[in-house]
Amino acid sequence: MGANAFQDLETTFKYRVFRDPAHEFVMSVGLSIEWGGTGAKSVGADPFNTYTPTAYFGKGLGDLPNILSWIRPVAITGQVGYAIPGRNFTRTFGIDPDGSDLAIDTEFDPRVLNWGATIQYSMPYLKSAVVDLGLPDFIDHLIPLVEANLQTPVANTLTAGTMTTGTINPGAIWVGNTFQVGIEALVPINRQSGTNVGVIAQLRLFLDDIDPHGIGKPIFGEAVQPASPFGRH
Amino acid sequence: MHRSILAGMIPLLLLLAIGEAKAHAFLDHAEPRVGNTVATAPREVTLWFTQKLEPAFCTITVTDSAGQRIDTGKVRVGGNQMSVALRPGGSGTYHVTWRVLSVDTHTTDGSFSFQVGK
Repeated sequence: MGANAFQDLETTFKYRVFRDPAHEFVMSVGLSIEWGGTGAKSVGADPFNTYTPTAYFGKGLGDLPNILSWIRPVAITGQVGYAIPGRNFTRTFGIDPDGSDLAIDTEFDPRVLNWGATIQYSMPYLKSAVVDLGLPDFIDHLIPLVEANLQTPVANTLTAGTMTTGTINPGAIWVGNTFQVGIEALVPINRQSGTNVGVIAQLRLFLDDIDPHGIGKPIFGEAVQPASPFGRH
Repeated sequence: MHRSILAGMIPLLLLLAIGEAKAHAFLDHAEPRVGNTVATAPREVTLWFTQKLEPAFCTITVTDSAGQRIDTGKVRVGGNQMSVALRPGGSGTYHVTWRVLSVDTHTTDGSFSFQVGK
């Protein structure tokens, strides 16, 4: 049986701390905040905030020698975050099944290590930097990828346990000039992560290309930013 | 919790998708074609991009298999296309390095090679 409702609103502030264009390496740090109470309880949205400081990295293999040119369009990204709930436990009140006593149920809200990675192959990079094979235009915009998203409770785990859950997500992104669309299958890594294969889709709008002088104008810094032909996360 | 990078990006793209766009002026195709082989040394190299270019900030450098620069340095830019003429050269691997500023004010750069006469 399914459910339709919004999860909690989540915002992320991200800052690039290191970039090495010659080796196609970048590292960033960020803080994600899940704003408790903004989503629906029916789909499991938490009523409290969760703060997740996160480190991100990305590495393209474009610096490999020519003999390995076919794997130069490969990129690897990863992230490690530590999710800190805004409260340590959730207490719910009810009545015993026999109706005689008040029942108090305490569930500890664990601190969770959120970790994951992607490996992706950029067809735009293949065409523009390695070899133009004359493939159909649709293919030249694709980035096949496999993503792993895992969660491991590491503290305050009395009721949650410490088992790692998550999904492996094979899929593809199609990158255009002003938008990209992506679709991935969600394959649970164990029974605790789910019993069926799911699917997730993404539409991403490049606001700085759609409206560079309006909503797409940078809040901080210069307008001119080097970029990469990878459709990375 | 953060179930997926894709899922987590959806609110981000709606609210904060600034500075990480993946479009801008990227190389769409080139003549001679990227990574391909031509029978004789070309008289010019032409690049086509995915967006219109700002002529004042666009450069192309072409070197031959000996690493010697063989472009004339006079880059012609029109719309989403730019070209540079080459001096006569021999066979071998030619290396093209480009840098452009698109009309959306973002710089991009890249490089590729093509073969002559092999």
